Amino acid sequence: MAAPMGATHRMEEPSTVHITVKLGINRVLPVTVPCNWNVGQLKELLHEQLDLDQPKSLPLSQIKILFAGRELSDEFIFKDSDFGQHTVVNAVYRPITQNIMSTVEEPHWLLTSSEDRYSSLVSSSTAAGQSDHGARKLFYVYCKEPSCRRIQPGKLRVRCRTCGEATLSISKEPNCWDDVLTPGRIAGICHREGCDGTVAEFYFKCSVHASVNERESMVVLPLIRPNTLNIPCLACTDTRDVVIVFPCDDGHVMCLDCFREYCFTMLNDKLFIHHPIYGFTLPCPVKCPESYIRETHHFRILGEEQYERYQRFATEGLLLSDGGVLCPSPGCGEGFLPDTYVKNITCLTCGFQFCRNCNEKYHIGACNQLDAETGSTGYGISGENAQRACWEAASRKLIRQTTKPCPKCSTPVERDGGCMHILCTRCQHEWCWLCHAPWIRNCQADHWFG
Amino acid sequence: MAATRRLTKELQDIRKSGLKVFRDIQVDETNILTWNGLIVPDSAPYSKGAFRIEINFPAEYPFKPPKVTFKTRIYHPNIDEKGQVCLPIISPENWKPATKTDQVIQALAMLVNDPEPEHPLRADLAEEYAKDKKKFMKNAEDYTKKFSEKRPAD
Repeated sequence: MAAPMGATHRMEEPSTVHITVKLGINRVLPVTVPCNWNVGQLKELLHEQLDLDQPKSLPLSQIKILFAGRELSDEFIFKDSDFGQHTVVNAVYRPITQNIMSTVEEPHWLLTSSEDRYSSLVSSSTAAGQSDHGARKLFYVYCKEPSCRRIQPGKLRVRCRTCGEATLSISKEPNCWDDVLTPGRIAGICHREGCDGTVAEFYFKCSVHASVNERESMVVLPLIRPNTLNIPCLACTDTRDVVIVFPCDDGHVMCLDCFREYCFTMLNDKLFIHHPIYGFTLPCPVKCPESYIRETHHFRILGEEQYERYQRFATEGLLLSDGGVLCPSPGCGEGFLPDTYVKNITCLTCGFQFCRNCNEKYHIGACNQLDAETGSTGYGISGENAQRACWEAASRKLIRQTTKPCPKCSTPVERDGGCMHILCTRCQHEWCWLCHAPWIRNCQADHWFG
Repeated sequence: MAATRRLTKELQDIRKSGLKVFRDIQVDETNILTWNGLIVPDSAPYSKGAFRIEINFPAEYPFKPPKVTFKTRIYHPNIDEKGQVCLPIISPENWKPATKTDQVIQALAMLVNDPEPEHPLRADLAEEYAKDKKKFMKNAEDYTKKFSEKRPAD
């Protein structure tokens, strides 16, 4: 019922704006004011309200309206700004005393608020929600709210690092990602009563839905940007509105559909790499040097199911490189870090007992690779089990005929054309298909292909 | 799917630009992932004929490279009896998603015109090419006359 109403509502210019005013920590005052009102009028309204509540309230001149780390001047008109419905502003009525002034540099632009002094970085963040401001949305986040669960335009917000409230005015505007992402770079003054906070904390919100939990912040994806330069995607050559710009010198551009497909293809082929600093990641697809994606949340573009797979591969890879083992039982794959001398491993999850060297059911004596029989138990078995055993035997036979086990980890490998040089996608061992041994220079000289 | 969008555009561009070395392009409308066409070399001994090739694009194109196969038999050190060809630009190590099919075709035409005996797929032909060029030219020309397709009229 609400959906079609909401849709038509967006078409017409609203004549009023709903603002949520926060007074201190616990008091919230929703107000609806005409769009052509200015902040001075809002203050008068608030003052009347406050007078009713507590007759000895502070003089009108001491009320400050704070939004996104700055004070709004009395002349500020809501209609002219990017105020969306239900925007939250903070009202503080704490007189700024001399000793606070002396300890913290007075934010010079706090006293003025003309549009030209309003940082483009901050103003653009408030533009979300209105479709005609598309090009001004500079920030994108991965929204983990169940109703979104995708990459959405984000809003940059600032709060006091000490009390977590948005009652802070900042001393210097952020002008680069480091200012925003590195904690403690921007100072400020918290105007909340009882708080001595002097450090700004930046965070991002999803601009598509009203935030359920005000403290919740979303991961910003700094490589995702509006395509203001109209650069075609390097893969599909379409020119799209929102793109990813890879962190290489050329800044290669890809549309988000292709980026998702790139990640998916690389994940399927196990071509993500474990970077010592950035984690399980990918470089620019053009293979530019030093182009690894640093914020791995960009891979959230894979969607919930594939992102889980990404995380599993990342963990498995780290475990194997640390000398761990994965349970070879189909559908299990549980990881362990057993002591190096242990050969007989029992999976703690599924109970399968296997040989560390050949990944087959545990046996005494030398490993016989895939030639081992499926195992006779000595018990009488039901018809169904016997049939399944035939099925298993048939798959084993097919696997034996079409694959060779990796000499290091025994993962069956199928060679579908190409050269003799095999790179195991599980343990990264480089081996020769013909020699069934590590790949050496002679392999290249004698039988690179054929 | 990126592959379909990209290949539709590439095919359009290639048809519009009219590549001299790649003619008679046939693509089944229901499957844009397979292209057929004639490589028309301009250097002896292959300039006497034309050679049909098939380009197979994977579903993951352009994140994975296409495969090129010769459907016409050719006497060439870099193309084996099955029609497989070793083209560095489309090897998985070198492949870049921004590489266009016309660049691949140009590289292929260059390899046909100018064999690289240092990286052979057929060691016997590479040896003949290096040691007895005259004999190689004669054999390759005979082979071309016998097996190659008719060159399209300009």
